[in-house]
Amino acid sequence: MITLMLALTGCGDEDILLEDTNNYTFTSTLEIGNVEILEKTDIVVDWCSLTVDFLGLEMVEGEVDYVVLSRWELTKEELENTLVATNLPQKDLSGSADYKPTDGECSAPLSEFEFLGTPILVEDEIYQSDTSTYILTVFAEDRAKMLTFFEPTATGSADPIIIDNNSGLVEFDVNVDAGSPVSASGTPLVDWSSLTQDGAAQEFPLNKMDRLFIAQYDLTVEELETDFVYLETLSVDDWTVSSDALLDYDLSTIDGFPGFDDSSLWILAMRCTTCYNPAPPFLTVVSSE
Amino acid sequence: MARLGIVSLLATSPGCGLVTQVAAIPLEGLTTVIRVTWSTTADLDGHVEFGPLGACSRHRTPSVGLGRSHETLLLGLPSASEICYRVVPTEGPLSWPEPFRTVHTGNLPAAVPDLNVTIKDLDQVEEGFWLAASGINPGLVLIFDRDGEVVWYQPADVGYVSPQALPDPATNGFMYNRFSKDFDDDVGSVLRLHPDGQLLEEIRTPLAHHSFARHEDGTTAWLALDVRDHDEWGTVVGDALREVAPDGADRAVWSSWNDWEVIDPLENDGGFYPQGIDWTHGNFLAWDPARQSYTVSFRNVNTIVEVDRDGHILRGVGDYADPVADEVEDLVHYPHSAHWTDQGTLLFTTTPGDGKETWAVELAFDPETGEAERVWSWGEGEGFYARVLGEALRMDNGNTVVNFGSAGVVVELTPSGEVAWRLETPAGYFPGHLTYIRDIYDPAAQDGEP
Repeated sequence: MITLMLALTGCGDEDILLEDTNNYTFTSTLEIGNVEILEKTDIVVDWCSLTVDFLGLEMVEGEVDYVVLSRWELTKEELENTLVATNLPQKDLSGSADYKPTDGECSAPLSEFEFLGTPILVEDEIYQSDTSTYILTVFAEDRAKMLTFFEPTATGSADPIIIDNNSGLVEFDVNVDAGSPVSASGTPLVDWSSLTQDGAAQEFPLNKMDRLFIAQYDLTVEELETDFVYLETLSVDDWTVSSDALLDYDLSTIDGFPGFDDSSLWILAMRCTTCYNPAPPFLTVVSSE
Repeated sequence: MARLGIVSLLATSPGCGLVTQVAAIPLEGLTTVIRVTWSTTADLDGHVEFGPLGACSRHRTPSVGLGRSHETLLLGLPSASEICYRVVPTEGPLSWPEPFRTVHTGNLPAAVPDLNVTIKDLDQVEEGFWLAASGINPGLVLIFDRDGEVVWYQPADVGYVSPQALPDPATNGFMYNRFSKDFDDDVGSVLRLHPDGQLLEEIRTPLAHHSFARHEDGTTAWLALDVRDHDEWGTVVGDALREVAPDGADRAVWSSWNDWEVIDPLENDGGFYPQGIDWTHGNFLAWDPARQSYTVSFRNVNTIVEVDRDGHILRGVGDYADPVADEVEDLVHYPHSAHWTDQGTLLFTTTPGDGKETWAVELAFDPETGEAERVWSWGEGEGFYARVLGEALRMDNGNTVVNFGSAGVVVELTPSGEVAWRLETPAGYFPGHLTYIRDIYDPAAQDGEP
């Protein structure tokens, strides 16, 4: 069946079977700032000056949905290396709480962060530890937008923990056309069930592919690579559809999607909105030539 | 006579035009389950053999019954996989298997967690499945196999917590509880589902939290908040044990207010319930048909009680029970999920000492004196802390499964203490209560559950 589909690729609106050999490559690095605070103290968390996320993308004022406080039994280095690469196990998470701002709030004391509706006891939960790492993550539109470490110590500051545009930075190094382009024209059915690894050579999280993203650019591949974090804003036009619980998608059913042609650069990506790493696990150039 | 004639004809012409219109389609919204339909040209029984490629006859469905139009579900399949299956018409000992066909299961929703099995010793553990609820929002009911492959799921219920799911013997389906994640809206209910995921019934369980139980006659019992004003402490949240019969009649079986004085309810109150001070914090309800009793564990008052259906306390250990040896007293610390084993011992999880490590503990009671002693425990020095939930289950083969709740780790231990199976969950998910399912087509027909 795979052989047959490959043979048909490029013949009009024939089905496309995405394969690992079509995938781009990327590496991600995450740098997270650290704030030393006074342990067991009800310190304010302040994200009022946060206007740009860790990708450098503008945030909409007041769009923060919630701020999550988590304590991991991992080092800062381990967290920086793994947060963008994989989903961490629950066993390494020794505590978590969140705060949901209302009416545009942009700060809250630690004592108002809740776990299962219960405010945390700061004296018991925020303490100096050689084995634990605390992290605050700002979420908007159900995606992580910014994060910072904080480190409770006996001599730390009681000043607010400021989460701003410089608290965290994600950088990508991408090779958009590392994989062979997918040959397609028109509005084919796209099947991603055979993908096994993502662009960072990690296991492909098949059931996490909850968005199918197609975009058209008046750019070269090199220009797109340079401004990769602006993948969604640089496009001439783009289409995003839910692919949750699916293995394929008939592109002819997407409203307004005219179909692939040879007029410009087209890319097709599978995205995971629940993953920490915003880089699409799969992305390929679509060629109609 | 005519019937014999048909059999003879079929026996001499196996499969020749006997089966028509075979179709196999993943269910919408539950794509790991395949509905197979077929017709036969004579009144015949039958079943379907199925399995993954290379093991096409690994499973078989129950018989579908005599008829010409047939339907069955293929259960227990991993997602995004190619499955082979064949229809097998039968009449008595005779069968006429069709050729194998293939069908693909669909993908899982993103909300379904990736479960990681890190130890699996099939010489020490049974194959089978686990029915699991979710310890936190969103409510999510899953069935997964020994490899951690999710084979059945109820779509995520955002805003709700569904910590317990049980097999439903009346339908061979499943039932689970559901309530507001913040307890700020009284929407408690128990939902009964067909194996195809269709909702069969929603049983209202006012003020429900944590846990429920089901009787053979269809009566549903649940833990309910019992909120009352107290002269000294103001509004205090205790626990009630309530039942609703199949005809809708609702009655209170027992309440903490009936038997216990409120003693410093602020000691463990963490503001868990918006209704008032969290006094008792019941966290699990088990119905034992052999003992004809309920067992309830209470976190905040470090107590486990056995109660009959008339509301009389039969036995108890912990702060609100008769004094016991200090060692036992210390072991009943934030107890969870207490229930009786077939051997008459009491099995539960607890967080003794400084409250930073969770153990599974088994107590035996002297039949003469009622005195309790520890006969088994596991977890000391292992470093697991179940801040939320936790449970221990004794399996038929003598193994014990310990679910460390919010620690995100489940282990199955042999009687000698060897870890024969271990499951880890991704951050953001941990199972509420687990029930072992030996036969997914008859999920209630096995042990391993409280």
